[in-house]
Amino acid sequence: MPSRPMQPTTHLRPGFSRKAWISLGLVLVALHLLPWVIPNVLHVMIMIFLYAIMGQGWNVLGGYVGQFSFGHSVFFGLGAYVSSLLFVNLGWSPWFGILFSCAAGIVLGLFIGFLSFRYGLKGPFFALIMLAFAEIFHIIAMEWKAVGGALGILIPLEGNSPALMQFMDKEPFYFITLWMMVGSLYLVWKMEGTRMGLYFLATREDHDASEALGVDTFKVQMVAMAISAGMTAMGGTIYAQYLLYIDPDSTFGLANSVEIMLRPIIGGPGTILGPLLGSVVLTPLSEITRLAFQSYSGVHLMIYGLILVVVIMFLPNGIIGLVRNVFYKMRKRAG
Amino acid sequence: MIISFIFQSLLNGILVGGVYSLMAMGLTLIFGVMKVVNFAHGSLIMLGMYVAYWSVALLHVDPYVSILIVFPVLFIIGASFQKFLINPIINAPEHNQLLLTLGVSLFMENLAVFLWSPDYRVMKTSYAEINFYIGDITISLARLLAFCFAMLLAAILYVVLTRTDLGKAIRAASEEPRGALLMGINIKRIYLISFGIGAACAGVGGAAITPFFPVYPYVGWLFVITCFVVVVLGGMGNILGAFVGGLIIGLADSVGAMLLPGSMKSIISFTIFILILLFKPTGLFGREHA
Amino acid sequence: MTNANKKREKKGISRREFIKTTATLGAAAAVGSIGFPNVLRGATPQDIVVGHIHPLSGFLGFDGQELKKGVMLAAKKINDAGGIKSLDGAKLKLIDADSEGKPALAIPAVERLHRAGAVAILGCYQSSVTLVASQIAEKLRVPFVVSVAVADKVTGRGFKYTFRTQPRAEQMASQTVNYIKKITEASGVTVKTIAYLHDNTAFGTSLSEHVVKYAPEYGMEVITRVAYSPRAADVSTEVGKIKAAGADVIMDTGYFGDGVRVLRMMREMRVKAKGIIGCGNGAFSHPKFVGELGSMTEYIMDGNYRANPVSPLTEKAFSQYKKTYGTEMGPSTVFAYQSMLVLADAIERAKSTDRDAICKALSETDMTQHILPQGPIIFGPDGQNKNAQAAMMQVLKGKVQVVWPKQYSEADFVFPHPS
Repeated sequence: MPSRPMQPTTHLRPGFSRKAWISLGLVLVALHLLPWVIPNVLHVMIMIFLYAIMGQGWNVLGGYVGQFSFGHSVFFGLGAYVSSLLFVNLGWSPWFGILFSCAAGIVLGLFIGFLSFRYGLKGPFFALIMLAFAEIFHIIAMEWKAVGGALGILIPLEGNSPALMQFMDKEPFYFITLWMMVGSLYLVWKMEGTRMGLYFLATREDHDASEALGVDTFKVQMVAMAISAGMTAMGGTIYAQYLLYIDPDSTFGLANSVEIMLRPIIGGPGTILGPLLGSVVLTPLSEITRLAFQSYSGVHLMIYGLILVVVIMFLPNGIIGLVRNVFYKMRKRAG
Repeated sequence: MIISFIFQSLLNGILVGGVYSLMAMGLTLIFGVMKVVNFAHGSLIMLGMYVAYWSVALLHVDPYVSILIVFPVLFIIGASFQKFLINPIINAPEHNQLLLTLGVSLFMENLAVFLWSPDYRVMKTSYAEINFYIGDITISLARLLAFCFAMLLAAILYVVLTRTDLGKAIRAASEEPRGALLMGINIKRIYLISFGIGAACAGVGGAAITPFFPVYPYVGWLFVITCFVVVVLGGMGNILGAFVGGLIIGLADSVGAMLLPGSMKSIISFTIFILILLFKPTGLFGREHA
Repeated sequence: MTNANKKREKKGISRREFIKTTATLGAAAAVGSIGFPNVLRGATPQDIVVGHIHPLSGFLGFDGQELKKGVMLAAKKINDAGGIKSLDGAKLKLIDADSEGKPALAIPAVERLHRAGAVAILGCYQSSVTLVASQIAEKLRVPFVVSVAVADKVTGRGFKYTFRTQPRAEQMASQTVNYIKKITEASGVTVKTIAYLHDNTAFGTSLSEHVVKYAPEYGMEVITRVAYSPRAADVSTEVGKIKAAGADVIMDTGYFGDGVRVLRMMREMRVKAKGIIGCGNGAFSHPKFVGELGSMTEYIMDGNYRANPVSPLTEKAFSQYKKTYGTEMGPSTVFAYQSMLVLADAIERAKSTDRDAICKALSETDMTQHILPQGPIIFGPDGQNKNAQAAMMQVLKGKVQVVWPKQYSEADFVFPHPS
């Protein structure tokens, strides 16, 4: 969490200059052309976007409202399992199932949120209670035969079946995750400009003062939790359809919670682009170290740990903070 | 058969609970004094285990003698950790400390994988084979010794905290840092020492179980989650609470294993955890401020 | 040990610096994933590319490296004997892919191998990884020959491109129960009840479920099934439940580390039974088992996959392995080795590197020159080796030996377990 206040905004919605909009537009166009220019990076890009989406989910609750969850994999796993079970058991298309995953995530989020926020859990206590819930779901998924138990769920191969969200090629998933990612950015951007967005920040900065000023912090946190949980759960569905196989360890594990939350923290908590930036740095990092250090796994995690320590100690606003500082200094020098 | 089975379970639960107590006491001390939630506690436990393992494998010392090596080594590691990493951000919001310790644990565990491979290592020692038998009940010497060491260290810690000047200084620093500073207590040194002791407790706890527990880089996670449950249960910062909490959780796990299949047994301790977090976050023994 | 550590430490530090700077390149680094430092660019046009996916690092890194050695040895054997003769002596070229033990990594691995022109893929040791990998291979129409994976589902999905040499879970379980029956009959001891301890992963769960199903056919019954989590700190209560059941025979399924822990606990708690028998146990028939626990392993049995100990081909393979790598060829490695030979045989018969032709040749496999304790290797329409057979091993005089079926046995079994 930034120990210095966020960049003060003089208008409700962060103003982007025309130049900024044009560059964003160009980037978007470039991304659309990518599959034909460099087809080999599609898998990495899909992973970058997917974790950026889920990181953004975490960001809403953690970065903006200041409630750090150490168990976000619970929503990811729930989303993955719900849509997969609906498909395997009832034949429902994942396009439909993803809505249920989102809903399930929201319901679980509200339940946990109700328990936690009603009793005023904050900081490490909230982090730990999320962890506890993630572990409980992990155990249930392992033991409960009806949801696949330890073997998990293998989604039957349907070949190329867009109606069932299964594709022979990667391009469709690339575009799905790209647009979901853009959608998540848009959602957060919009939110920043609303009163609720302001309440998020107020709650984060000073819980008690906000209460005193009439902000219903309980409601605020619940809203944030709902958005956060729903987004992450949807990511779970996409993951399940991409891999066509889910099991308790890869979905509900602590490792997944860490991957999800590191993106916004390192990229820049409480910012729109933070999770994406974090993902762009961390995902390829693990790919490279995997190829470079064939016989020593976990190297990328070692580097994650190192980066995290460095960021916390020297870059409390994440990489975005660093980038902003650099631009600020450059602008000062120019003008 | 059933009666002896129950007794056996409860007995093992208490024996392993004693080790949880020791590890948790380290964690709660760190929290109590510095208000730092130390996610790297698991890595410290893991390091203690590796130090013990290598001491036995390379220096051929007795596993329990290796504890004499583990204590100072982990103390120094803990103190350095505090001095170079935690201290600079002591005034930052809690989340930062949480994340920092998480980063450190990620780094340490995977460094261990890098250096020592993820293979399970089993300490070769004769203690592992010796058992006492009372009727149908087995008491493993290794487990008993682990329990005794844990209790011994816990007792020493308790005495230090309550009877010595150092202990009083530590308690003063944890309850009222500014007041303690005004009284001439060197807070920085106290923090250093407390973290060192906390780390040493973790390390010794780990070392005590190596005669009968496999050593591998991720082993810390098994225990750190339990430690958190114990610390919250006993009250964060409360040494006695951690002590009792450890035994309770050890028993809860055994009871859980008796009643529930597979890994479900942990659900009991997690549920206790959640209930405590919600209804009595200060824990069974905690007061409003640690 | 210290020297190896020092060497690794040094390598680690210098590379770490390098990586730290590279890490800041972020997005541009995504392009870096195109470069495959692992693919030897020296593949001559004549070489036949074969890919394999195993956990070369991570938790199961040790096992994965062993499997890789098995595959490499088989490839070397073919190449040294003149390569694939029907393709003018073209040599086999292996490409590694590290799954790190994670199913998610199977996807990029299969695709990378596909792009590198692999005519077939071997793998993956873990059922979860194998299920994902074979699914992608099916999608891409690349023949997938399972090296090691026990889950029934691997060959139960109606796939055309998946083939498996090792016995699947159902075969292993039913055969083990069969062998128990035969052994108890031959020894004149009645065994009616079984207490089954197993890990709660897919591995332990599926094997134990099959045993529960098949036991009644042989006049036995599993009266107690106790699952434990490999991550549990303490398994004494689970073992206590087994002890309390008082069954005639105790069965156990788990990976190597678990097997060691469980047996030790059983000894500690003085668990007694007429026999302690593993099913697919990662420890009980592993060469390192006796080394870890010493004499307490005596008389422990395991119904598991194995090489045929009485075949001269096996002896040759074992000694070659020992000569090349300095260690014993473990049971899993045997199947990595044999699967590569099965693939080579198919390529030979296909007379082409076309994947569909190889797939067809695989489905027509009828191989008698092999090192497995079974008749000819023939794949059924589901891709499963129809004649796959497990064997019953027992630790006798500090050595793991096959004791059943008789035609493959190295020694006579000892049953019941002497007190």
